Amino acid sequence: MTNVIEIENLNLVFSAHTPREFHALKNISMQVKEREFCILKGVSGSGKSTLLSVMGALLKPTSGKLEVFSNPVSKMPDFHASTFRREHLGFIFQNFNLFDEFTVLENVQTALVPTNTPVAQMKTRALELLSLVNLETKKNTFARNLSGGEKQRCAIARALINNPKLILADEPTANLDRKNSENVIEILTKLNQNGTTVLVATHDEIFEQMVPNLKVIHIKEGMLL
Amino acid sequence: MIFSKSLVAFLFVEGTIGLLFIFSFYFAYMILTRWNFNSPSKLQYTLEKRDYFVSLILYFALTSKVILLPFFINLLNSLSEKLPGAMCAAGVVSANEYGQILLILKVVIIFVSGTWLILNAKDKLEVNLPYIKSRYYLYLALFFLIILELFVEYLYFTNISTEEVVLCCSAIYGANSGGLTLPLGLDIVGILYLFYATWVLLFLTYIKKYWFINTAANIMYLVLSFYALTYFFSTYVYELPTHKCPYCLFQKEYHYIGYLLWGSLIGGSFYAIAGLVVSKLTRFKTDYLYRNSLVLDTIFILVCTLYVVAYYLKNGVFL
Amino acid sequence: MNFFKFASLTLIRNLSKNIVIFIFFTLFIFIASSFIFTSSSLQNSLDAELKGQPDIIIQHKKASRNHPIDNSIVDEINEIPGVEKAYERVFGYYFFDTANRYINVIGIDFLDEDQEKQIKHLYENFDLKVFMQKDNMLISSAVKKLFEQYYYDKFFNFIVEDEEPKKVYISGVFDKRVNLFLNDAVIMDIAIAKDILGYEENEASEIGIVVPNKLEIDNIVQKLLVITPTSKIITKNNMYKYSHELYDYKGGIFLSLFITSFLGFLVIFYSQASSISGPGKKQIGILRAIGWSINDIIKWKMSEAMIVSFVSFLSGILLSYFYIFLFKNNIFVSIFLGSDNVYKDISLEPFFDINSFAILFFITIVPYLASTLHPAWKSSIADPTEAVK
Repeated sequence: MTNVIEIENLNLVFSAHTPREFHALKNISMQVKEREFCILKGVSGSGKSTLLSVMGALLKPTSGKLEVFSNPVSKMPDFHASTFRREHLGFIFQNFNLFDEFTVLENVQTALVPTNTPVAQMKTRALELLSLVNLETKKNTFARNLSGGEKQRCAIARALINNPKLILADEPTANLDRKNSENVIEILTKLNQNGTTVLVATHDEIFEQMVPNLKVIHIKEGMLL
Repeated sequence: MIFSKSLVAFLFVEGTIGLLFIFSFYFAYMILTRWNFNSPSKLQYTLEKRDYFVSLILYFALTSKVILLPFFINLLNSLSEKLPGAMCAAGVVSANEYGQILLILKVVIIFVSGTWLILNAKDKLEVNLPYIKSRYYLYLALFFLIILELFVEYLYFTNISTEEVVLCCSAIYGANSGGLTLPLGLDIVGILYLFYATWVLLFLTYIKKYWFINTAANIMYLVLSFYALTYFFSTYVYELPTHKCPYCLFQKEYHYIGYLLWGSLIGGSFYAIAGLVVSKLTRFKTDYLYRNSLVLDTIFILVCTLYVVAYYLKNGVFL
Repeated sequence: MNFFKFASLTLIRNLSKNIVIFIFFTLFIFIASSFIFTSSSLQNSLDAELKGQPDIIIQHKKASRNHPIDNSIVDEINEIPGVEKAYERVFGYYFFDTANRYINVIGIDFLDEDQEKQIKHLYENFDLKVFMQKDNMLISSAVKKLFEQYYYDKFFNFIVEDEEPKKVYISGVFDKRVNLFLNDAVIMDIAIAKDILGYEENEASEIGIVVPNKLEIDNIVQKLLVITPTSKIITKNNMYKYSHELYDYKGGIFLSLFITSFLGFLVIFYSQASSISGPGKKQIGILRAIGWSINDIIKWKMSEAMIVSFVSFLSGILLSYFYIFLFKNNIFVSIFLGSDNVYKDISLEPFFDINSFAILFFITIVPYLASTLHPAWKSSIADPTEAVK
């Protein structure tokens, strides 16, 4: 199995050479293989989200090697980094991060706006995904009127619009009750079984209880344990 | 000094573009001196972001300049009402020594900023922004051109006197002008032969992909077209053998045909020059730019020829 | 969904935030376009008016003031080859003391066919025989209103120096729509006008000359200089130039003032747009995380600015079109025409050209978009990790 993510000696320093200098990530080396379901476990402030942002090319590391699908994402200029994110990654957030003033259908389509996809095709694809997450009936509901579980399912549909090979999720269950959390994990597991690599930053025990063959990576104060 | 609504609007937009350039100059200067793609420093990431601002300003400036050019020509035409002796923009342009320089500057600026934007698009396709230095040297040139243009504009408009009598186009380009003579000692028939021959050369070098010769031929085509249009084809547009003028073409009486003719001609040369510059500076093929160039050059020659043919069909004689 | 669709959605769904900008921008465009509509409509009417004027005018000036000209040279001028006709013209302002208004008194030689024709154009049921039976005049509807205020509904008494008041009967009213510049005019026989304006029998305000071949005008001017070397000779071309100068100059000054105040608006807008709020940053962070590039964010922000400016542009222009051309007495006319004439009872001829449109575009949309460039870029480079927090 090939490595989806390959990290060697990765460091990230904020405000270098100033009194406020802060090592967010220290000497991180790790791999995530294709089709793995992997969680990054640590308390809040341990650097999970930061590591996720670096993998998603949202943050540039100070030093070290980082390759995602063999792309040196940390050295990519913005244009390529964004295309890479759009085509290979799906992001899921703790706070769902939907546009409240948009409907469910519109929210799911936002990732396709820069791609010149024909309107009809865009809509068909969005509806397909909404049925996957069981949300077709709410397609014209404004995001602000959804329940927490529905919001997260809508966010998952949005993350899947480009058929990503890798899903990066940051505390996807932190704002959900037990039932909705199970629901989200079921969807992620199903995607994983269909070939998508999943990497979740979380401190929730529920993943270990529900996901078979789970790979757990512990992180503390910017270092892997 | 003259004053009018159009002039105020024109100078205002030119001033705005100048200000934006001055605003972005610091960014450009930093990129030129401090750029190091492999550095993971915060400064390098900041510079990468600033590059977007500079390209945004150039995009805005070019769009505005392109829209402004016909407005400027129209402004010159309308100012001719205010100057004694002037019948069209020809007299207004020749009202002082800055008019001609200003027109040439405007075309050069559009060429340079257009080339810059094509280069920018190519640069963004590469994974390590390899052309950024060339882009910013070109930017420096453009910056000085823009500032120079503002100066020349100031000198030009403040030195137009509404009292002094200026020349009208028939005095500048007409039979007894003596001011402008045809190049290389040729007569107008010779110019026309050369003009059509150059187009054939353009076509052949396009087919054979001899890009360097194609660009050189394009520049020659531009020069020859100026003479052919002014001294021959324009008379067929005006349907008057003595009326020779490159500016009256822009007037309403002639269905604003000047905008199409000069637009296609200048556009044709632009694409050829941009094609050569971009292919020399990058690893990309620029065949499509030469194709655009040939299409525009062909539109020009077709429209010119059609005027002659139409006149012959209507009247049974040539002028 | 493309950037424009997306931008219109973000605009409409946040209407309360954007409505203020939209209203202010529309208001600015309304003012600028009202002004440009008015000045180009007036200029157009004036051009049309000038078309009917003689090709050359001779005036007599003393200390740069208009002075009566001796009409005995008319015959001499008529002898010049190339001159079709020379005739005396009499007009002037009569000060209506009680109302504190000026009335434009125009004398017409009704025996001259050309001049009579012009009157017929103004007043359809004109009957020369009836008109000439006694001291009659035609007045504009605005003058009629003025006279009625002072109970002059059948005639008007003009006060003439050293003489009895001159009673002139009102034989008809012409519609001001026909000619803007006759708005404050009364038209009467040339002899009565001379009387009222204090001209002698052999004097006139100026002499008009009709020259059919325009290429001859310069030659004829040379000959006129020989006949009357001290007079001021004005060709129709001079008049065009002068009128354009007048309107374009006033227009230019107004535009400069407008631009200055508009810049003030833009500074406020700029500072508001460049301070990106927390939720705004988060929104951009989300978009960046799901695959939007810096350029995509800029495209979205610029699309928003374009939609706002084009919608405001259209609404501003439409509003001002209605205001200027469908309502009487708009305040912009008085900037050009002054307000101490009879009444500002004026409605303008609808007129709009592409150049005015371009001027409006350049002084409103272009600076607005220019002021959004920096805020758009600044928000596009907002830290994308905002979304992950």
